[in-house]
Amino acid sequence: MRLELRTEGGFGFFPGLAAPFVLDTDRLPEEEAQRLAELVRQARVFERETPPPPERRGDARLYRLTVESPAGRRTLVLSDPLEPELRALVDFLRARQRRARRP
Amino acid sequence: MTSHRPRSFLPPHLLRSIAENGTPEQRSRALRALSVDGTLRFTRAAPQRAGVGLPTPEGQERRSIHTAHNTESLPGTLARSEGQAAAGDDAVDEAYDGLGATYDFYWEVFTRHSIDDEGLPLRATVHFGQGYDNAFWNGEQMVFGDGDGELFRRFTVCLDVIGHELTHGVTADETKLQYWMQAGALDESISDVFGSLLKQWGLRQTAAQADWLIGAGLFTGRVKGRAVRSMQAPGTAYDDPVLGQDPQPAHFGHYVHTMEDNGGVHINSGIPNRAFYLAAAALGGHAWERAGRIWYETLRDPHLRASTGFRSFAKLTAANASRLYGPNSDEERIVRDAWQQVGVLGVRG
Repeated sequence: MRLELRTEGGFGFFPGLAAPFVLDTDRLPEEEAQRLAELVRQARVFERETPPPPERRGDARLYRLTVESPAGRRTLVLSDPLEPELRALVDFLRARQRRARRP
Repeated sequence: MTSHRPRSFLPPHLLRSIAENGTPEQRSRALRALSVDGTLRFTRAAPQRAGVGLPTPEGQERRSIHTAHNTESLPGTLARSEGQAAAGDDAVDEAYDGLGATYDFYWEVFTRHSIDDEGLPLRATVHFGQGYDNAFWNGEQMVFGDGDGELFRRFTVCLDVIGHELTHGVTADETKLQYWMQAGALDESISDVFGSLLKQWGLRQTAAQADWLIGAGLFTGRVKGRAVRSMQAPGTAYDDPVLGQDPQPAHFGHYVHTMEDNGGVHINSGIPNRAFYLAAAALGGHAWERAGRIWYETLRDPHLRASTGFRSFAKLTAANASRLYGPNSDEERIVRDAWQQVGVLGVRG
């Protein structure tokens, strides 16, 4: 499974934080890959209805989340506040992204 | 003092206190004095809004600060309402003071009665999310995160950030500016302009004394940068291994065409930001008095359309400078010159 997260918007635009973050579960330790698969299941990434496109509003943040698996490919465009299950998935990816960009 | 607003002998905060606590006759006199304004506006009775109870008297704010307790439920639980003593929680008290300062700034400088000029109670939620590194206006209220602690501190620490967010509410009330491309960059710039003016007004700084930075103090000590943006020198606010380099252009010739960031709204806002700085610096004195008045009247100008771009906005500021201070006045000339320096207006305007 391949996941991509793009975080856009917010109070400022920071080039270093804008790059999309890609994670391939094949390259993760088994335990983490399972955890991620579980988060994707709980967030019902493939089952949920397409959310309405978020309004463009002052400093609101946008998350563009794409998940590719043998079952298919799904992109969700989300804005704050996030449902707890989606937040758990987005936060998992953002925490890994933070670790990856630490110099 | 160059404000064209007739000033009452009594300072506004005293008038407000009389309007609140005086006899009926004192109250009505104080309210009349508070509503005097030289820009052809008249006192509006604040209409009753569904669900918010009695209208707030002009010159008086009504604040409520909630906490989301690090969840994302809005508005969360009430932590401090108007008139209550400090809660002892920095984020709650900073938001309370910041909303109050923003209200006072708009009222005392522009006689604007809250975000909608009709006394909208100001609501904010702090401690939104976990390590949430943003602040935003959701169309109804302010939302502040605690910051991730690595790059950003809590978003209530900077008065200009609070003013920036609330000004998004003002802009949404006065205009239909699209949050996209040049119109969106103008929306962002307007928020920076009035956020910075709020800070300058609070510190009683002249244009020459002000730092013209947005979000100074928001970064943790680990970030190599002074602030999130610089209105005086866009593109120089930070240069950090994690955040990257401040991408703001200072001149229209370097406008950034991108699909990111709603078409670069936080990037290209550097151009109109610098135009405002140049106008304010050339006019001298307190930036909120003349430059701020011209930008404020432009924001309220019905000619400002949803898709207004930099050039139309620039012309509108010059037209408002001419209307307020006279055709061929110093103010009009200086405003045009500022837009020429950033390449938005040609020499023939």
